[in-house]
Amino acid sequence: MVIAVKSLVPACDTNAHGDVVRGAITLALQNGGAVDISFAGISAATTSFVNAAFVDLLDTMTLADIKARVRILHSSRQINDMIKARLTREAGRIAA
Amino acid sequence: MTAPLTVTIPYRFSGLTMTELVNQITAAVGGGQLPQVIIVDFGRLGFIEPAGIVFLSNLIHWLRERERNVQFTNLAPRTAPIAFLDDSEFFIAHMGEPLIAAARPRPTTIPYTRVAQGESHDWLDNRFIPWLGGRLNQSAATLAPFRACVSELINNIADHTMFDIGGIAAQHFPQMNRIEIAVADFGLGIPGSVQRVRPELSHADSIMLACQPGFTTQSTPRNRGAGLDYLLSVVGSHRGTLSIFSGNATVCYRARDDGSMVPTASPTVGYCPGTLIQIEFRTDLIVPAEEEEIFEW
Repeated sequence: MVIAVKSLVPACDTNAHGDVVRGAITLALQNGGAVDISFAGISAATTSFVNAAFVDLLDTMTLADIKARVRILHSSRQINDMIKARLTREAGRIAA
Repeated sequence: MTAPLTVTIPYRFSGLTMTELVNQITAAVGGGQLPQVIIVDFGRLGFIEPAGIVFLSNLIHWLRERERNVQFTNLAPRTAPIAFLDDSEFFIAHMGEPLIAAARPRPTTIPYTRVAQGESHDWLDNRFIPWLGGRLNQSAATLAPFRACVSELINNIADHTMFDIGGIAAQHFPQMNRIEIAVADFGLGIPGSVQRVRPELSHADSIMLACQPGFTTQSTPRNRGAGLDYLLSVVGSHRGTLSIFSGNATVCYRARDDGSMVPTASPTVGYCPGTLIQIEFRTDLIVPAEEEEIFEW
């Protein structure tokens, strides 16, 4: 299953944008398996977006689970760095 | 009816001097009402930075929203700074027309723009990044950190003020390999927001606490306090500076050689309503990035 972010939101700037993407991720993972998130057409993501789209997944999933089941595709270095940094930091905060 | 108040823009109008304008207003008003007519005198102006343009424009909007008649004086002769403002569409924005018909935006500037969070992605993707990319001959992927930084600043306005509109201006100084971007709002201000949860802190300490990773006033429940920290990391990696003007304080973060950012706090001469954040970074330190990079944990 591939979720094309650009088909869901115009940009990855706000919490609201992230909520939409997280909703799609959650739905896709409901029946088990993995999901691909394509950032084709999106060059950048903010902390607000990543918090809502990915960090909030930690409410119901472990970081290990997210790493195993959520794949990021067609993304820029900035998006990759942002996702990794935010998830690592917030998962560490939960574990502490 | 109170007499018209004339306020004089200082010679160098920047983040450091903008509160002189507010001082003139508050000194004249005392405990009374704002005059109905406020005259902005451009006669002394010698140089204006993006922060000055944004602050002045926000102030004019704020006064007009309170039904004050804002007028301008000493716009002639058309000195270099007046011409710069004209080319920056300042007089179109505030008088409805340029001073001269030949005024045109300069390729080195993004004129003052009021951007609401809801339409910011359109402005970022179709105006700001194409301008920045054209100036620096870099791709959108390479400039993604700067797009994210400006978007963080716009989100900050929406999260921490009752408005979601901020003013923004930018300028490229090619001779100095530098870009300056200023974003400002006339909301509660960072100290006002932080002091809701930490009332004992000074304005300067409030600003520095707001920049700590993980600190949040929970002004919106989703806020995890990561945006300003991200800004600092991007500006630091480009050996730039990030200056925050809010309330009675100015905090300037400067980059060390290793990219870490060191704050210096100083009391503002006067008061800055809302928050103005100015970032500047070196363009010769931008590292080109591929359009796509394989994601690996």
